[in-house]
Amino acid sequence: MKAVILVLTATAAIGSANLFAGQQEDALEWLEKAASAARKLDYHGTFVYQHGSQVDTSRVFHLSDAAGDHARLVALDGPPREIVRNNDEIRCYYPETKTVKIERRTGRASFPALVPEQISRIGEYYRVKKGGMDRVAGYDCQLIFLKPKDSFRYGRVFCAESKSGLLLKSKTINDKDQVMEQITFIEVHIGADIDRDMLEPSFSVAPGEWKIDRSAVSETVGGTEWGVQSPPPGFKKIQEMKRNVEGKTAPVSHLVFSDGLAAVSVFVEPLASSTIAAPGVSQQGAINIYTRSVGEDYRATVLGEAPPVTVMQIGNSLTHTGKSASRP
Amino acid sequence: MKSEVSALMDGELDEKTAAALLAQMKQEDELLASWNTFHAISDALHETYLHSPHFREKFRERLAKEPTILAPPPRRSPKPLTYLLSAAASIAAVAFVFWSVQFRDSGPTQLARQETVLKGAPQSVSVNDYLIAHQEFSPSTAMQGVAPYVRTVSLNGADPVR
Repeated sequence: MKAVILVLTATAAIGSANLFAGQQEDALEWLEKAASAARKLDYHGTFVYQHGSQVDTSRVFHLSDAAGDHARLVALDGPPREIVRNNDEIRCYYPETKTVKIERRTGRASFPALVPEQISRIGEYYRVKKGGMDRVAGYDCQLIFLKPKDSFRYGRVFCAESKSGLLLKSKTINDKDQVMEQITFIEVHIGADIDRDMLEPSFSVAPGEWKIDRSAVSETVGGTEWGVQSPPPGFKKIQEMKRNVEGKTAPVSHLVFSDGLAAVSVFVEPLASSTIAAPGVSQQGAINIYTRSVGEDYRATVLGEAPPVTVMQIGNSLTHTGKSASRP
Repeated sequence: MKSEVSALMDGELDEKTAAALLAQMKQEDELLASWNTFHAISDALHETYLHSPHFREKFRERLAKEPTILAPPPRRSPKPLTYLLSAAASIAAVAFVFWSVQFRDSGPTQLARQETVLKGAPQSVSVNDYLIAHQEFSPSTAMQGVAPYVRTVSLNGADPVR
């Protein structure tokens, strides 16, 4: 009898473990589906971005065609500002200061996709599970919960449209179950016809009247003199490059760390050309920003969608590997 | 008083009045209760479609006529609020407004308390550029498309106080 009970218990345990693993895989597949939908679907809609007690409403348009990936974001509250993306070029329009900021990445395909390797890593550091169904902006959507396994990352709640997988709601939650930021569609048209002029900015940028700020980026993998000695568990370096930034005399080193879901960037620049003032920690929605000086000659800015402890640990263990080890 | 509280919520008070009101709110439970109420309603409302123009103003008018408190009292005793105002456009730096309210209902609908208050200088436009660069590599951008870039357009150094 005892043996039977033992076997039954063991089978049940294995069974539920398999079930759990299966559920997690299923939930992770939804994330892949969401990434694919964001890239491939034609859609437009209006969403609200809540952070702290501030609510900003924006319109978004997305088109995927033979020429690639195109999107436009229009801020509806406050002064009109827009972002236009065409494949790997992003243009930010600030009509108040008549500035267009252009950011272009060279040597990469389209904007970041969630590769399968990343997806499987998410399961190591987050408890991922599918929730029930919800309804957002008139569409039925599938809830997906990601609960962090430690205090180095934030939790997430996503709601993906049940047919296409397009994310209609994203929440970032801290360890006290408080919402750091939330992006929710209040109306969306999936599969709508998108005219090319919906992707054009509202402002006509007259050269001479508008200041065009270009930042050319040259990517050299492993090409910086910097390293992070003790990143928090799971945060692996996924990118490293030097950026030539307008207004800075020397290139800025940029390192990116990620646990598969959250990413933290480290920017190191020579102190003389830095426009950032005193060191400290600040926050914008789910993004925490930590700035510190490194030695006497450099300023580091660490930012990402992770708790303050994470950006600070990455920033504090930043070392200058290019020169002698004694340099902090 | 209640109207001042809702004006504070909408960022319509000048720095002096806002600071004075906040000091008062730390002392008067009733004022803090109003604050909580307005945020509870605002939070609940933001789950629905906000299509009609001037929704907030219309709602505030209607709310002023209702004497009942719609949200249960906070579970814990009120904690001091932290408050910063955005700088004017002439200053090439941005300060953030962080405040939060604790609600009794569970689940991730509570707005966050920002424990890390801005120390040292406020954000500069340079950090905005870094944010744009960072989002190119974030998996969040992969899943949400261009929407996360709203962080940069809602944070431009040239923004006036709202």
